[in-house]
Parts: sequence; C-alpha cells; structure tokens
Amino acid sequence: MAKNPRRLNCFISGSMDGEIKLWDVAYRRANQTLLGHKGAVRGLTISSDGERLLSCGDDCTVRIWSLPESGMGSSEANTTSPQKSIACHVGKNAFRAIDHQWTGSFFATAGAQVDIWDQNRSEPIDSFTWGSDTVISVRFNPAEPEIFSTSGSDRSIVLYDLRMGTPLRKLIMQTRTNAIAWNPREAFNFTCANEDCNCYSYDMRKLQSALCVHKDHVSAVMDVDFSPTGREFVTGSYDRTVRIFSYNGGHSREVYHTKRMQRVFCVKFSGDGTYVLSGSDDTNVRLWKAKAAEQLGVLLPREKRKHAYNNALTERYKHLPEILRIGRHRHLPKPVYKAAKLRRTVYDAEKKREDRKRAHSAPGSVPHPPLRKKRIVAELE
Amino acid sequence: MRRKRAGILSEAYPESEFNLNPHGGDTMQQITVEDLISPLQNTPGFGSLRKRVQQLEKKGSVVDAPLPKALQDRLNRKAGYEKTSDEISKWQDIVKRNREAPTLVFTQRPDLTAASTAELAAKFVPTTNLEKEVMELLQENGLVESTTEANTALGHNKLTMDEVKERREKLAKLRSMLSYHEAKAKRMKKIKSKTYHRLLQNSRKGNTKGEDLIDPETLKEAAIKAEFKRAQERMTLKHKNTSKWAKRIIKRGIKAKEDGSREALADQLRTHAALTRKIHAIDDATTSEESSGEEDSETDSKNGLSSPSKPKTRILAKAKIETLKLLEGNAEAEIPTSGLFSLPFMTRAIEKKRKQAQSEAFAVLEELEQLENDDAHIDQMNFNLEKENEKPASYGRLAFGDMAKSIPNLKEEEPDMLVEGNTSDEAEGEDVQDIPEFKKKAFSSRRRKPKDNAKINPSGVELQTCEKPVTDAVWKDGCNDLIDFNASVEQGHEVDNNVPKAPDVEGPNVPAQANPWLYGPVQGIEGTFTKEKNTIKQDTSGPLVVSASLEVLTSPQVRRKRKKKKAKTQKSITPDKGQDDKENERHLSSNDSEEEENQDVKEPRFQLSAENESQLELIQRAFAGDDVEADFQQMKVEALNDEVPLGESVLSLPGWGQWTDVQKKKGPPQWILKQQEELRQGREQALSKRKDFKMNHVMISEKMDKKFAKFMAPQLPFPFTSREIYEKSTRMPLGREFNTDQGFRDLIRPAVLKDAGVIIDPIKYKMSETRTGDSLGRKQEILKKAKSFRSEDKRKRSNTTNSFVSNKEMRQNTVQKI
Repeated sequence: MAKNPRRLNCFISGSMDGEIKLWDVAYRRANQTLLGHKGAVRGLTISSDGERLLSCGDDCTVRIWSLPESGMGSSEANTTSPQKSIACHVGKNAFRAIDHQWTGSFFATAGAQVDIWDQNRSEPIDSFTWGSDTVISVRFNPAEPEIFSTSGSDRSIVLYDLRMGTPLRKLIMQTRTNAIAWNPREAFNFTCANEDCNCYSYDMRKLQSALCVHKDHVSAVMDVDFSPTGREFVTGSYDRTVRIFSYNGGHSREVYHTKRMQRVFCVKFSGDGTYVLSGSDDTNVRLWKAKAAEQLGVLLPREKRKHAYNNALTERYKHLPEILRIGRHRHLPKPVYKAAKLRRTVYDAEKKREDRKRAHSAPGSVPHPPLRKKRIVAELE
Repeated sequence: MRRKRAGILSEAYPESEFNLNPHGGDTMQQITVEDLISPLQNTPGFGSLRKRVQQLEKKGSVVDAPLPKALQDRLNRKAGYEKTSDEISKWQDIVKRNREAPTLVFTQRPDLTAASTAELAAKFVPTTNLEKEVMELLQENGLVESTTEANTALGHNKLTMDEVKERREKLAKLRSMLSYHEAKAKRMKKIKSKTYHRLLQNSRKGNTKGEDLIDPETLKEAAIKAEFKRAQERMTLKHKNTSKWAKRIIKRGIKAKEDGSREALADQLRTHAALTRKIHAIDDATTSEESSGEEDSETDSKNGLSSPSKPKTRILAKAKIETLKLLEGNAEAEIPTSGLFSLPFMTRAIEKKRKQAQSEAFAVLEELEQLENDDAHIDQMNFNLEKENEKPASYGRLAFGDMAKSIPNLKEEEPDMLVEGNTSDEAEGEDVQDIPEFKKKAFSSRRRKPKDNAKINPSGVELQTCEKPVTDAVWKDGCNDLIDFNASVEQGHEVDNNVPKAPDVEGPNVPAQANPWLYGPVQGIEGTFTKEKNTIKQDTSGPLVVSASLEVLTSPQVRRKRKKKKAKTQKSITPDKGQDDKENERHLSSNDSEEEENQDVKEPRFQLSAENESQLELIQRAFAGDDVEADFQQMKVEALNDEVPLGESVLSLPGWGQWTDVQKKKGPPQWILKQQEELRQGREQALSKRKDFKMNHVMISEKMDKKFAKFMAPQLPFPFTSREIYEKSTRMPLGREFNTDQGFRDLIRPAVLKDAGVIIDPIKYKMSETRTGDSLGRKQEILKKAKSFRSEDKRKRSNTTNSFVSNKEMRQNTVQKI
C-alpha cells in the first residue's frame, strides 16, 4: 500500500494477484485498477512529485505508472480503460520492497540486494550488498532524503547513505524486523516493527540501545507508519489488530480491531494525520480515524474550544485512577486478550526464573539487561 | 653466462629519451629520471622541475598493497557512518525544540489576501499537462488577457501622499491625546493627599449629590427627611431588637450555628445607631452656644468659676469627633499584607477585633449624642436639683447604654457606702447632689492651702487635700475615679505636703475658667490619656480604640484599680466626715455648675462599667449560649459512631424467656450477652487504635471513602518531583470562568494543532533554523502560535489571514525578525 505525498485522497494498494488499485478515499472505492504484474505486487511507492507510481513484485520487474491528474471529484471509476505502465525495468531477482525518495528522483528496491534507481534510467545506478540474505523492506528518511534503511531476513537493520555510497551500519536483533518507519519530524529516529511483537525506536546515531520499546501486540508486527506530525505511529500486526502508539510511549494509545479483519499486513497514516488505513488478509482496505473519539466535519470555534477544554481536563487529571482506567479501557477480541495474558504469564515466569538464577549465582554474574538492549544481538560496522 | 651475455647489447644508436635501454640490466647504466629530464635543461622552468624531482627522491617510499576488500569496506562504512552521524546531528536542536514545544502547529491555511480574480489570473502558471494544453489553445485564439488588469487593481490600492499625511497626523493626534491622558492619570495617582482623593471620589460618585448640595431646597428636603426618619426611629425603636423575631432569637439564645441571625441582630442595632445618630455638625455649635450662654449667666461668681457645662459639651463634642475619626480610621485601616499580621488567622482576628471595636464605638457615639441631647434639658432641670424627687431624672440620664449592667454596678457599690459612710441615711438619697458639694469643699480647702494631709501625686500634681472631713460615701461616689486614679498612680505613697505645687498643675489642656477642682483629676486623666494615646497609636486593634475614644472621660486603668484601692481611699477619707453635713447643706443650694461637673465625672463611670469589662468577659457574654466543648464532644461521639459502628447483634428474641418469671429475672440469654460484650470489646479495641483516641480536643477522621479514592492520585505523577508542586499545578482550575481569555486559550491548547485535510510535509532543514535555538526565538514562535490559534475563530469573519502561515514559514519569519 502506498500513499500519495501530494494528495490526500489518493491511496494505492497492491495485491498478491498482481493488481494495483487506486482508491478514492472520499468515495471509498477503487478508481482504477492497474494490471501488469504477473506475480504478487510486493512494493508500491509514489514519486515525490506525486505523479508517478512505482511498483515492484515477484515477477522481477519494477513498473512505473503514471497517476491520473486529479483524483478529486472523479467519482466515476474508469476501470474500463486499462492503463499500461510507462516503464518496466527487469531485474535479476524478485523484488521485495520499493521506496522513493521524499525529494529527488531516486528510488530504491530491495530483494537479493539493494538497488538504487533513477526514474529516468532503466538500469540501477548503484547497488548495495552486505551479507547474502534477502532484504525485505526499504524505507527512505523523509527529512534526510539521502539516508535510507533496510531490514533483512538475517534479522538485520541496515542504514545507508547515498552520498557515501556505502552502507553505514548493521544492527542485528534477535528476531526479524518486518518494516521500518522514519520519524518525519525527527530526522535521526526510526521505529521498526519486529517479529517479536514489539516495536523498537532507535536513534540512528546510537544503535547500542533502543530509545523505546513499544509493547502491546501479541503477534508479529507486520508494518509501521509514522503520523506526519511525528508524535505517533500506527502498527499493523499479525494478531489482527491495528494499534496506535505515541512516539515515546511504551504502550499503545489505541487499538483497532473488527471481527472480520484478519492479519494486517500494511498500515498507513494519512497525509494530514487524521486517518489511518490498514490492509489485511481479508482482502480489504480499512479506513480508521486516528482519534476514535474525534468529531469529524467542520467544527464551530466554540465546539473546538469545548473539545480542547475537555481534552485539557483529561490531560491534567489523567493520572487519577478512575480517569486512567476509563482512558485505558479497551475491549479486545478474546484471542488477543488471552494471548496478552499468556504473554504476561510467560514473561513473569521468565523473570522469576531469572531472579532465581540470579539469587543462586555469584553476585553480579547474572546481569540485568535492560529490555532496550536485550534484543540487540550485535552492531556491525 | 647466458644472462650476462644477454645483458650485453650493443646499440647502434646512442642512448637518449628516444632510444631507451629496453632491459635495463645491472651491468648497463640504468636510466634515471635525471637522464630523462636532462634534455630539458635549456627549457624554462627546468630548475623548479629538478627541485621537485629531488624532493621526491628524498621522500620516496613504496605505496602499500591495497587492503582486502572486506576490511576496506568496513573502514569505508565506519567512516561513512561517523560522517553521517555528524551530519544528521544538525537536527538535534530542532528535534529538541519541537519535543519541548507546548504546541506543534501544523495548520496551514491558504493566503486569502489576494482575492481578485484578475490577480489570480495574472499569477497563474500552467503546471499540469491539461493546463498547458488549455493555455496553448487560449493563446492561439488570442483569448489571454494581459496582466495589466491585475496591475491596475493593485494600483487602485495605492494611497496618495495627502492621504498618507492625513492619516499620519490623525494617528499622531491620537497618540498625543493618549499620552496626555496617561500623564494626567499618573500625576493624579501620585498625589498622596487622602482628602484630595476623597473629595475627588465624592465628586465622581455623584455629581447629582453636588448639585443637591448647591441647591438649598433639596438640601433642606433631605435634611427634613433624615430628621423625620431619625425621629421615627427614636419613637418606634424599630431596630432595637424590639421585634418579635429578635426577641425570640434572644430568648432562645444565639447559637454559634446561627451566625446569620446574630449578624442580622447586629445589623439592626447598627441601623438603629445610624438612624438615631444626630447630625451635630450644625446643631452642636448652636446648642453649645446656647447652653454656654445660659450657664455663663449662672456662673458662680463667688468662686470665680465659669460653668463647666461649656467645656463639657466641648469635651463631649471632641470625644464624639475623636470617636468618629477613629471609626473612620478603623474602617479605613488596612489589613497588613506582609509580616506576621498577614497570616490568615491574624487577619481574621484583626478583622474581628475591628468589627467589635466599631460596634462599641457606635454605642459610645450613641451615648454621647444622648448626652448632648440631654444637655439643654439638664440645664433647665438644674434649678430644681435640690429636690429629692429629681433623682430618677439624673439616674435616667446616666443609665443609658448598658442599663442592666450599670445599675447593678451601682447597687453593688452602695452597700460599701452604707458600711463606711456614717451618713448612710442620706448617702443613698443625696447621692447625686453630694458630689458637687464635696468637690466644692475640696476645692475651697485647697484654695486655703492646708499644710497637712495634702496628697501629692508623683508627677507633682496636687490632686486634693483632705483637710476637712468628707463623707466617704459621697466622696467615693462622686470622685471615685479621681481618687482611684491618684491612688493608682501613687501606689500608696504619702508625700509630704511641703512639696510645692508643681507649675504644671494647670496644663494647657485645662480650660482656664474650669473649676480648679477638676484640675487634678482632669490633669491626671489627661496624663493617662496621653499615655493611652501613645498606646493607641501603636496598636490598631479594636478595643483599645474604643477606650481611646473615651479618653476624655476616664481611663480604664482607673476603673480596674478602683476596687483594689477602695479601702485605702476610704480610709483616708473617713476622718473628714465630721464637716460633711455642713458642707452638704452649703452646697445643696449652690449653683448648677457643680452639678454639671458632677455629671462630668460621674457619667464616664457609668459608661465605662461596660467598657471596662475585659475582652474575655465580653466574649463570654457574646457566646453565652454556646457550649463549644460539649458540642465538640458530641460531634466526636457521633463521628466515632459513624466511623466505628458497633456491630449488629441480637438484642432480644420475641417470646424468648417471657413465659416464666425465672427467665424474666435472668434477663437475655448468655449467648446474646456474650455476643454483645464481644462487639463492645471489638469496638473499643478499634477505637483505641485510632490516632485521636487519647486526644480529647482533636478529631481525626479515618474514614476511607472508596468512591472518592478513585479520584485521588495514589502516588506522585511522573513529571512532578514534589507533592507541593503537583498540588500547586492542580490548584488553578482550567475553566473559562477562572482564567482570563488568553490564559484559558493557553491552558487548553492541544499539543498538536492540525487540520483535517491539510497535508503535513516532513520537516525540512533550514540553515537559519539552528540559530533560533535561543529562548527569544522560541518565545516569539510560541507567541505566533498563540496568535494564530486565537485568530482561528476570526478567520471566517475577516479576510486578513496573514498570521496563518505554515509552521515552517512561521519559523522562517521569526528567524528573519531576529
């Protein structure tokens, strides 16, 4: 799934059957279906000027499409005229991910290696390899367009700089990182969605320990995307929930789930930070409000003030037990609830075991590794 | 050998740069760089070339073999990472600032100032393909208008020189006016004179009032109205707690709980006082003149004394004015804002005292007025003073205010007189008349300058000589104050009568024509008066103020000590009683001036019977109905019952043990008793564990309200480090009713301001941004944000939305400003 950086109502989704659909968010329907990929579409991105769509897939091709001029008001779906891709670049291996620079004309694809492409050239202008494992995701830094990061199946997170022409550093964690999102307001911070149910926020300058560990999911986190305000991010998980975390909060602010929503594979924050989109295994794209209780539509100034006042009140008294309870209370699907409980039990048991071990060992021989460092295996230069 | 041979080559050509030895064998001369550059000897720049070659040869070293690829890459990566880390650290300040900012603003609004279509058209640049196509078509057909229209539209907005000048002048005028008014206000504020401000305030309060003052008709009407009201009040005594309600309240006893009713009663009394107060500014002068006129004619020429009534009225007036002044001053006195007295309980106490003092002062005023009112009446009555049946009149006159108190007081003293006075038969009856006699006699005796028994007070003021026997009863009753005072001052010192009269006997305050008899006392009193004054000046609390208002009459010290010294003075008096009767007779027929004196001395005594009561007594009287301690105990018991209830047990079983006498006698069964006993013990134990178990005067609630606990912070919330700070932070409410408009907006502003439908771009780095790390830039930014937030509401009304700029632009602006 991709969002258009220049247009709010334009979202694009790619599916395993090779279809790419252009969605009109306002009308909640697909405007266009782009056919061309033979296999699954693995990655989608839109160029920084918002006019080109780039897709890659299992069929070892990168296709460039032209986006319709205006999504606004075109309520009638013109699926009748199938569009052909402008360009099709063929690679040696299947592509797993693609991302475009926020400013500039380069884009990167990930697969067996990381390739840097120019929109106007058919061959990659650069390619990076570090190790022999597949790279499964790539994401450019919105604030620093030359910096990007990838995550690989060797449980690694690798940072790159186009100006240096080399990878910068590799971080290996205990479990695989599925997706990475850079904070659009804090150039050096990024958050990665990990297979171990947690998200980890890192400062790219200090990879020895995570800035924050965001825990709440009970299954692998599949995708993560930052709100354009940089204050929160959304995650989609294999546990069929979508959660919204604060950029520095250990636990989620909000959890979204429906009975019919299956494994969530991709999530996106809308360009104005008001909505959240999720694509899940049940072949649906869902649109959520970023703040579930927010009143939509045009508000009178008085209404705005009222809401602001209420929020300020809750903010001031949020630590009082009852208010805390109300603010935190969420209904969860039974499996998620039980899984969370189970995870808690397991965690407690582990902790107990560790404590006992510590109690029966020489003092200092069993250290207390903080959770922020616990999952980091190595930092390779 | 072969090699050697191979090394030997014979060349047909000489060696040169064009014919090199291809093998360069050991045997042969190797070609050197020098060989190569030697042919260049004659070319310019050869020297420098040779120099460089020599330098190279000196340093000459072999280049290392390249590192293995893996290592090379690692080094590259390391260097690259360091470089990038450094590079990206430039965001540090910005990120920090954004994180600390109370509000991030992402609202981005279109600039609506350029609203004319012509302008828009002029600015239009085709960007998309469609637009370009359309533009081309238009241009082909010559349908594109020139941008002149836009220019002309802009041209219309220009101001002419004259307009600008006019505007500037207008503004300047406004400014000057403003500054003038400001300066004036400042000047006025600087004036410290209270009178000036009062007058100013009065004039502001009602210009109508001023007009009234000017207009004699309205003035007169108002005066008549006031007089009528006063008369009405005096007739009906409507506000003197005569109503049914007031009586009932008084009968029931004013309880502490019913604060309102007590206040209401006090209010009524105050209203009464206010209504019956005589406006003496004009009246006083006339009455006093009249009375003095009358009395002058009646002056005792023999003694060369003028009537004391005039000074008396003067004294009264003075007292009244003093009281009023003090009242005013009291009302105006401010509670100190700093120091010990600014503590809440101190201020409360001061306030209380002040109120009390006010009410007392009112009472005094009232009495003074009554005195004055009665003056004229008394003067006439004085002619008939000899008659015994006039006693009630004098009593009635004297016993104002605290009738109930003063009369018993008097009666208490009477037995003393009876005991000590030999002329007990007449003592009670001639009480009033006797005093002047005595005074007169005393005076005359002093005039004769007796050499024995003269009492002189330490300050050298001769007070009286007791040469002649005086009826002690009369003496006591009349001049108790004086004697007591002397006694108190002297503390029992009997000073030689040879001590010469001090020159300050006749103080400046003593009227020349006043009865010299009064000198002593008056002087003495005034001595205390001045003393008191000093104390009053130091102390602002209520009760003292009241006594100060009575300064002319007497001092409370005198009263207090009277009883102690009674015996002593009486002893000193008793020998004089022999001549008493004679004197009595003589003075019975004497003039009224002495009667006036008598009043002068006597009145205060009666008044002060109330005044001199200590604070404690007053409080006891005021809270007569309250038994605070018992109430508290009751409350505590109730609270304890509430908090530690006795558990439920079976008290009786209907039908159980009621069919035989034996069982009846036995009472309830053992198990019930046991249960009850257990419960009782349990409760006692629980009580004994309480904190306030041994504290009789303290009640500590240990009740835990579970519902309320939900809304109490179990521990200190995170960012706070101390409980005080946290409590302070929650003390000020957020609501609109409790804050200024701006404060309210600041308080409720959300952490992120964004609009649905406005795309928020990723942050962009600007060189100038890093320089705004200082606090000034941030402050301006916050101000700007606040402004934009405030003007959100106005957006729809006004088209001037200059303040709506994107966050980035805003920051840029601030930077430029700096």
